[in-house]
Amino acid sequence: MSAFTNLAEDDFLDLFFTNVAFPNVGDAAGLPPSVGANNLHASLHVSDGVSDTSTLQTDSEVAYTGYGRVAVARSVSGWTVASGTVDNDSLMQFGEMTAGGPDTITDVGLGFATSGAGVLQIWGQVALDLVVNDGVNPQFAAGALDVSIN
Amino acid sequence: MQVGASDDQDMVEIILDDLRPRITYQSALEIEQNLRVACKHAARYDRAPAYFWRDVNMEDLNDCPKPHRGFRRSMLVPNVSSWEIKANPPLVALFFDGIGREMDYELGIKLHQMIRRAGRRAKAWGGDTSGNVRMLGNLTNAEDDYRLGLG
Repeated sequence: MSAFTNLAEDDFLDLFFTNVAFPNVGDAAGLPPSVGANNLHASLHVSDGVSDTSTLQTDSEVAYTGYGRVAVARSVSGWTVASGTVDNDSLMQFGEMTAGGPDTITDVGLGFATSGAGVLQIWGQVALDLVVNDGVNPQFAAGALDVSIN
Repeated sequence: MQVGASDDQDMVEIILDDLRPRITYQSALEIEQNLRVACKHAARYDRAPAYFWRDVNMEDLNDCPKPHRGFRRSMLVPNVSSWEIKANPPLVALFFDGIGREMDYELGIKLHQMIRRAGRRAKAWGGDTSGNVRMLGNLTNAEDDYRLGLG
C-alpha cells in the first residue's frame, strides 16, 4: 500500500499549476519547473463529451462565434495551491456569444494550447450546466474553478 | 444550527441539526468539493474576498490514520440515496433525499472541512490509497453577475 503524502500532493499541484519545482525528487532540487512557464488555457465543452480517455482539447469544445480559450498564467499569481486544493486567483472570462448557439456547457478543460487540438490535461464538470445564447458571456469568478486531490 | 461530520469505518455521517445522513466516503469527498464551490459562490454576494475560505483551519487534514493494508468494506450501508447542494446566496443548502437544511456560507465552509476530514479518514479505513483529482467549476454569465453587482 502506498500513497502520495499530503506534502507531495501539494508539491505536484505546485509544479503543474504554478511552475514551482517539485523538490526532493531525485535530488534536493527535484523536478525543475519548465523553462517556459506558459499559460494554462481553459476551454468549455458540451454534451458531457470529455472524459478520462479524452486527449484533444477540441473534443466537444464549444465553437460559438466570440468564444476563445482563457489563458491563466502558470504561476503563483494565476493559481493558489493550499491543502490539496487549487483555485484561480482572478476572473476568467470567455468571449460573449454573438452567433452559433445555443450551447449547453457541461464541462471545463485545461490544456496548454491557445487554440486547436492541443492536449487536454485536466477536465471537470461545471456545478450547474450553463446555457449560452447570444449575449451570454460565460466566466469563472476568482476562486470559482476548483481543483482538489483526495 | 448544529453541523458536523464524523467517520464510521468506511462511511461518513453528517450532522445537520436533526438530520443524520450516512454516506460513502466517495460521496463525502464529492460533497465537500461541491459545498466548497457553493460557499465560494455564496460569499461573492457578501463581497467576501475569493480567498476567505482559506482561513478555515485545514491542518486537521493531517489527522488521518494510516490506510488499512488492503481494501476492506464495512457492513454499513448509506441511509440516503441522493444528495444535492444549492447556493442560495448568502446561504447554501444541503439536501439528502430531498430533505435539506440551509446555513450561511461561513458555517458551510466549516462543514465542508469537517466532511473532507471525515471522508479522508473513512477512505483510509477502507484501505483506499488512490488519489483522485477532481475539477469543478462554477460557470456564470458575466451579464448576470454584472447586474447583481458582482463584477
